[in-house]
Amino acid sequence: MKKFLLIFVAVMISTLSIYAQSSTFKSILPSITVNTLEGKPIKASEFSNDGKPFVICFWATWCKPCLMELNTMAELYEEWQTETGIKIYAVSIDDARTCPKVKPLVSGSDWDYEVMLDQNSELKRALGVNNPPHTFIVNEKGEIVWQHVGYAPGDEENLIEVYKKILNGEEVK
Amino acid sequence: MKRLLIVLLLITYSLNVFSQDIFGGKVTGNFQMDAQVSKEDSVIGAEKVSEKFLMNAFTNILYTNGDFSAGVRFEAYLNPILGFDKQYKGAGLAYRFASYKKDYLEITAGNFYEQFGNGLIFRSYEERNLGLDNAMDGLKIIARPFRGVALKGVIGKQRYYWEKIWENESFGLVRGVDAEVSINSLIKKFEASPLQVIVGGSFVSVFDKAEERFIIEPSTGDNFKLTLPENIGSGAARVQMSYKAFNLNAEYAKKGQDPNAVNGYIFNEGEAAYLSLGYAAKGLGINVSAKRIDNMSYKSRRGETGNMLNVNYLPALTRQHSYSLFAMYPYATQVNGEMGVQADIIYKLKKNSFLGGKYGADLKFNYSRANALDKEYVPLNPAGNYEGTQGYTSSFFKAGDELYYEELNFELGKKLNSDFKLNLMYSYQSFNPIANGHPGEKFVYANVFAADLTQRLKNRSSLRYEVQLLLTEQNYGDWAAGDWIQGTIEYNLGGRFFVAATDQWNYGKLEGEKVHYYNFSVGYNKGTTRVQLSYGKQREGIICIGGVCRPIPASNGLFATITSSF
Amino acid sequence: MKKIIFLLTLLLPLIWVSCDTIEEDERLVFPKGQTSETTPITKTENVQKIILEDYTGWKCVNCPRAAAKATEMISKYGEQLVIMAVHSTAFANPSSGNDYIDFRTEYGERWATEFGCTSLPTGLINRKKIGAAYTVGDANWDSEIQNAINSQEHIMNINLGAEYRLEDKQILVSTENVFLKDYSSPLLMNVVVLESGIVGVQYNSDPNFGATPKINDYEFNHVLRNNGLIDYSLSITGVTNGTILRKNYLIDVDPDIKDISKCTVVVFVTDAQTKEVIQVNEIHL
Repeated sequence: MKKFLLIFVAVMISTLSIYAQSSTFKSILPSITVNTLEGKPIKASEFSNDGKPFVICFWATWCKPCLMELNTMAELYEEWQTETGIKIYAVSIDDARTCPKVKPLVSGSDWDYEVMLDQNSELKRALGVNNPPHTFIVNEKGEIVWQHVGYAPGDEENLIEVYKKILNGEEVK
Repeated sequence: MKRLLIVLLLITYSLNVFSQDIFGGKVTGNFQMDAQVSKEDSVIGAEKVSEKFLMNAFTNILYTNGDFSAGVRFEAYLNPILGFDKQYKGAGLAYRFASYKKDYLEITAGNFYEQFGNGLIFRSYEERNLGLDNAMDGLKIIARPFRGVALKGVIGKQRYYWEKIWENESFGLVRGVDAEVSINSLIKKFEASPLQVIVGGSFVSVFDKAEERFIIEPSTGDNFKLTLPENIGSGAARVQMSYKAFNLNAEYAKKGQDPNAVNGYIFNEGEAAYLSLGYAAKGLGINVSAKRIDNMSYKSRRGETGNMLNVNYLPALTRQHSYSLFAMYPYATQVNGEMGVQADIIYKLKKNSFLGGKYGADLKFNYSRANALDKEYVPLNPAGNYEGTQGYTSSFFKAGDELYYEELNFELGKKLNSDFKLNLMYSYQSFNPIANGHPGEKFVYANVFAADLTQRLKNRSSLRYEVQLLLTEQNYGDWAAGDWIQGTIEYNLGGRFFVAATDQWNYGKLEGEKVHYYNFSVGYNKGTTRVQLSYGKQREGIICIGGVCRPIPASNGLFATITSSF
Repeated sequence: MKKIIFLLTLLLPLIWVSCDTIEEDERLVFPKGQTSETTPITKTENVQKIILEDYTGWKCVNCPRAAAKATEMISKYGEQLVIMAVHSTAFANPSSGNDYIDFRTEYGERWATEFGCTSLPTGLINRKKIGAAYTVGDANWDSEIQNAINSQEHIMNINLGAEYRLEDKQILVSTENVFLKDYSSPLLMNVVVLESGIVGVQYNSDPNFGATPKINDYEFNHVLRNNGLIDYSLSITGVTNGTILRKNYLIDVDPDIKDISKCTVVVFVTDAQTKEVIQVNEIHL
């Protein structure tokens, strides 16, 4: 029992101490290759939005909150785009089992996101994503400046607020 | 093990000192911990946990500096939570790699994950929540000599819990190459063509040292030695095409002789074919896929059964459910042979249309079916089984009579007004118990319903109400316990905090006690850190992700999960 | 283009080693030693026989005494007794000189350890436990053999045929195992070659049996030779009364054998669980 507690505490402390620092540094997008829906490879480091910040959402066809998030934002996307010029990369982590459902779902749901396939979770791993949905905002330099895990109704309002702040050059936590 | 902990602490602290910015490089990572306290409960079959406290934890630390990256994962299972293989018990660095990219080459040494095509002959991956990790340990080279051309080469052994795989000859060596060419990227002239074509091919070979294996004729005692192939090869070819709204993905794979514990040591060659056709227009998506799997268990150790040491990946062609009663009878691919089809239609009813109403609606339809192969068995060997024989022959296009699984489901998502959103779902399932290792049991036919209502409140908070119902005539003991009902209510505050209560009740059970599987959970979410605590009863069942399933035993107690990314 | 050629040449070896294919007739093979060939049965059996294993060695000074006792036993019990001299333990080890013959066998050493034959001379009678141990000193051989003949249950007979094949340097042995009773335990088969009439050096301490401290022209008999087939399965599930199991074996002749005409083939069947010998037979080549 002692051993468990020791390890438990050690792992907790070390992780939380990293976490405490996490808002002070910005990691950049790695050059991990993902695929477009047509199968074309593209490196994550090449994601861009004409010099503006952009959003990356990790999702999967089997993930209920992810679909809720993406469906909700899809309704607002056009409005957001005209207002701020936002661009959303929706990176699906569906594997070979559910991957064929991505394209029909995207078109059937009428989403206008840049949909990417990360079939073997390479980018997911590189960005330290535990479970979808996991949302990132990346600034014009390719640095991750904000991230959020999970989705609950209302989170999309938070996202666009943070995005606007970053667009205006404000610091975000 | 203490040493490992100290090393881990030193690493993390030194990282903090450097403010995650070492020599211009960046450090990222994530962390997850699951802790469980379960007490004995004879009614639901929860066994006594003598350790009282169980914990799984891992943390990934990744360092990137320009073209160079390196990472480690520390894992601790002290002791593994219920449902995880006991062989995971222990702690240590389960994963470490260094990778360098220059010009057209990318070289990774150490542990890595990779997939060739659809994974029919090679996929190295992890599914942490299933306790499944078949990371390769070795070398990976990816070359992109021209635009649109990718060549991959891998060599290594696969992870097996904490086993010292390099010191144990019974773990096979996996070698593979893959080439993929995007015709449109390679040839300038076709770049803007509406027809996009990607072709690929791969080749994998496992070297697994032959062990002494005899089969014995029981009455005379005659023993025969089985001559086992040591190099088990496989090859696959694939094509991916899209033309305007249509797309096609096809792959065919063949595996050489591979007598193993899963197929009963038969010499039949393996075969897998996969075809998927899609149509995607604005507001309408259709996908139809079909596959044939014939003797395709491909592991890097001949005697291995279960979920470890898989070289390839053969997912089930069925819908992956997220409502729990819909996933009560999950289907897992029958690697020794099955034929399956699946169709998906996703349609959006437009806003302000007759059917769609003011906000429109989302419709989803899914059908899937898997049958046995039509197998023609060969004569038995002298010992009275198929070991050492061809096993069977089967014709490519003909499906067998035995049904493994069939499902038809509809889903309707509709925004009722600015505050309410409703999701309705129905599914009809026919489930052959043999497909999940319950031979001798009867078929289960189930009608499953779900209604899920989300209500937006002020201050970015919300309420969610969910009711699920499973109706089945099949009612025999623990395996098929008749009708179930489940209700959930969940309150979310500003995306930061949530509290939920759920109760699952097998009210239709005839034999034994009817049990309320209640569960209360609270969670807190800040940035990328999420803490969740739940208390209640967990039904004995099977969880499946990506067609791979793991049984989870019943439990009764407290469960805590912390996840974080940094 | 150079790049791609370079990369492709790296891949070629893999394709080369990729896949083993085992032809249909190679998949299930008899283990080495077992065969489907046959030779006529020439030696039948109709009584319960007893095997005396004489654990011995050329450096064992009391062993000539035991060997003489064994010879005496043969004259007393005749065909009903089979003697097998197992040269083993440190007493049989080669020495630095060149006046010895190495009679050790891999299985002989294994048996010596398994049955506790550490101080020589000693013997095993049907590998039956007598009291706490398997071993029987040469002074008690007579009485214990008599005992075994009286008490051993007659379960089966082993009929034999053997043929020496000069060109292959192999001995073909056919066995016909006739069961007179039901037997429920798994049975193992052992086929070994013994050689007699080999002359060599033997240490000795008793002038009654020859010169001391060593006999230079000592005659070794019933010497267990190499390449025997040990613990081959005869029946896994046990057998019923009236069953006849026919098995054929091919033994590579031990190249150390001096004179094949002085060799015999000994076949004995053991109970896989108790290790006891349930029947034995011997045939001259």
